[in-house]
Amino acid sequence: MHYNFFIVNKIGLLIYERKFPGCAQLDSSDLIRFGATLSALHLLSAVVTPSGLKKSGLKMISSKFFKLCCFQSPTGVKFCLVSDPNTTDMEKMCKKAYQYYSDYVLKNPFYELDQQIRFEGFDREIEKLFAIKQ
Amino acid sequence: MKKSTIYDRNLKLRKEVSASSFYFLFSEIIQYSIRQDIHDLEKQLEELGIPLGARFLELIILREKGSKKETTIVNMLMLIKNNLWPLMFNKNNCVVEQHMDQENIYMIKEIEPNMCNQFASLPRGQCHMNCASFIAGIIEGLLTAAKFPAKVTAVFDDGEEAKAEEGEEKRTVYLIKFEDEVLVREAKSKKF
Repeated sequence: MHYNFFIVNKIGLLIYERKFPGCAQLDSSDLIRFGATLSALHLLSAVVTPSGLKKSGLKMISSKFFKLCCFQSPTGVKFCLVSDPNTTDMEKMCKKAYQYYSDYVLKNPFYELDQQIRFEGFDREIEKLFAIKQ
Repeated sequence: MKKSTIYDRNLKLRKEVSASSFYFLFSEIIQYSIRQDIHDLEKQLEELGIPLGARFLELIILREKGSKKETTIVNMLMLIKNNLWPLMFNKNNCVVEQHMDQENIYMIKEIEPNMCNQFASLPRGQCHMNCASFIAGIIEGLLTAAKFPAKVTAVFDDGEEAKAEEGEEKRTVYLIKFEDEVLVREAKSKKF
């Protein structure tokens, strides 16, 4: 089961947030903090990577209570999915979300880069991807 | 040795264009038009389409019609359905209907959403501009060049509105309103 899905742009601003049914709603200041913390963690984890390993940044946080998967596109947009600890294939879903982002958001003439995403088409595909029931 | 030029190529050569590059180009066109004047977006797209339509007519008649032009409204609409649509979208997915009350109005309904509107969705709650006006412009240009002066507008299918809320993409209907002279000519030619 998934809890939350976020998209954070390259300067650490949250541009898309999707809450799944049965999960507590974060308030807006929490969301802003989340975006900033996530990009900071991502940068830090790249810095503390032992030499000789690939500096890919934050990819996954696992704990007893949740699992957080982060996928970064080559342009620095982060797709982050928070789920329960037993979920598998989280990275695959983030990559799929990236595909929809590049289709429904980047090819949309009414989108301004690094701004909030509020498009029906994208919402629809995300709902389909994570099988969210209205 | 003689270099091969564009004139040596086969006229029937048909190459497919990458959909992604079309989306990006079209998206840039719309952004450019918005910078010009956002309220005029549909009209600007239509004007872009009109010269394209005239070229499409020439191309279809040369390639597929054996240089014969169509003379009746029905044949002209069939040309749009059977030749223009496959040429533009590589599939024949539209239905042509006549308006129930007015005989000078015809409608082309698409069966699935076209390329122009596939990714171009406005933020929720904002007015709905239809980017398929570009296609409407192409149809208008084609008809006008074939001496069937008409006004073509692209509107979202009202009947599908309920469906759209359930998560379906919106389809477009192209309303073709022929000028009176076309109908008069058509009536005259039927007498012979």
